[in-house]
Amino acid sequence: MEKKSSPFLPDLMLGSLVGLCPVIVVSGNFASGVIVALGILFCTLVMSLLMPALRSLFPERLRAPLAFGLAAAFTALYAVLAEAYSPLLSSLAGIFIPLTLVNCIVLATLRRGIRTEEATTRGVILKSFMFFSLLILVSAFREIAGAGRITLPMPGTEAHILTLFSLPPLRLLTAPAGGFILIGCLAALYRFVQRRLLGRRIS
Amino acid sequence: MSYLFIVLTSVFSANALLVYGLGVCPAFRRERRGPWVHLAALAFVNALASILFWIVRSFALAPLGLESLDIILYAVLIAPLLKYLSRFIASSPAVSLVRMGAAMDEAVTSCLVFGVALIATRSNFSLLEALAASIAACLGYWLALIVLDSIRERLELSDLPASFRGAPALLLSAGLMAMAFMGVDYALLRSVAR
Repeated sequence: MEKKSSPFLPDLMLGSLVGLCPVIVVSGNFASGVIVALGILFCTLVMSLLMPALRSLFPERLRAPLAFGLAAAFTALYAVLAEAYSPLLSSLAGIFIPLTLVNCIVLATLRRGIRTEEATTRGVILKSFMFFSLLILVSAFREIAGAGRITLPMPGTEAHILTLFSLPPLRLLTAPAGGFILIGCLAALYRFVQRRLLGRRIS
Repeated sequence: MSYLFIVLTSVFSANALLVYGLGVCPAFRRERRGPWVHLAALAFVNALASILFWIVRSFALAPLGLESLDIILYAVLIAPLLKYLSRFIASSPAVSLVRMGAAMDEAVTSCLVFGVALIATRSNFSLLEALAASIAACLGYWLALIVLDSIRERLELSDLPASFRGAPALLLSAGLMAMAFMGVDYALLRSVAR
């Protein structure tokens, strides 16, 4: 019965609609989508690996502020690295690199790490990779269909753009409005597929 | 820059929810919001976070060229201070203050508050302009939330395909609203504010 209600994939983005803030805006450009997705993956992985140590070393009342401070330090480190790698891509991602700190997925990792005693690192890693791949796929699709090109996440101060079509079919997709509409359609598709798969499993 | 222009821009063409995508997760969660208490809590915490962030960044970090450490200072100084304040407010005997404190406590670590503080600080605003922008961003977020809540109520009564019921239909509606909000362009606002 429990299996019936659980999703067939870790459903952070499309099932539970968690961590959508960067997806709506940043995924309009492939390179900035990759930069932000890597930041979220980096912070989530590092914090999920550090949480057991934090749990064993510090009393419960100190864990939350320490975990939040540590996450901020890693976010700042990632922001500096991203700026050094490509100032252009870093400016394209804008406030969404610092916002990694308060991304729902990173915060959920911190909350879970503070409260639970059991190791949840494997589940967190799986969900983070799922979110990472979805964000990258959505970014690629939005830029190709919305702008007819793809901006490659290459180092340096110049943009490396691969033009695919001169007339992009769905210009709206690069705007935040297009992000809402695409995520809405993908969430509906996710639910449809989930229902079909679970229906098959039940029968 | 005119204050009216900053307010109009923050409410419409740079709406926190529909244009910047800040605070999307709580907006699509199905929960009943006490309108005035929640709005007051959001506006208060947004304004306070933006002011503190602006002061710390301008007077402590910028002279030393350490602006990239603003994320850490937000986490170790401003967020704990706001958390403490919200818990202090929540411990008062008045019910509305308890609710306001709880809403503030939840909002401190949300991407809306941190995002608005970042936008207000990194846009080269003066302190008063940053304050106006943060309160207006909160009003814009609230306006979008109220419209989305009423759309949600209409959608619940509509005959939609099963896969689109709930959040997917609301996301599509938010997309259409975002188009409308983005249609209010900067040039128009500048001429209105002149």
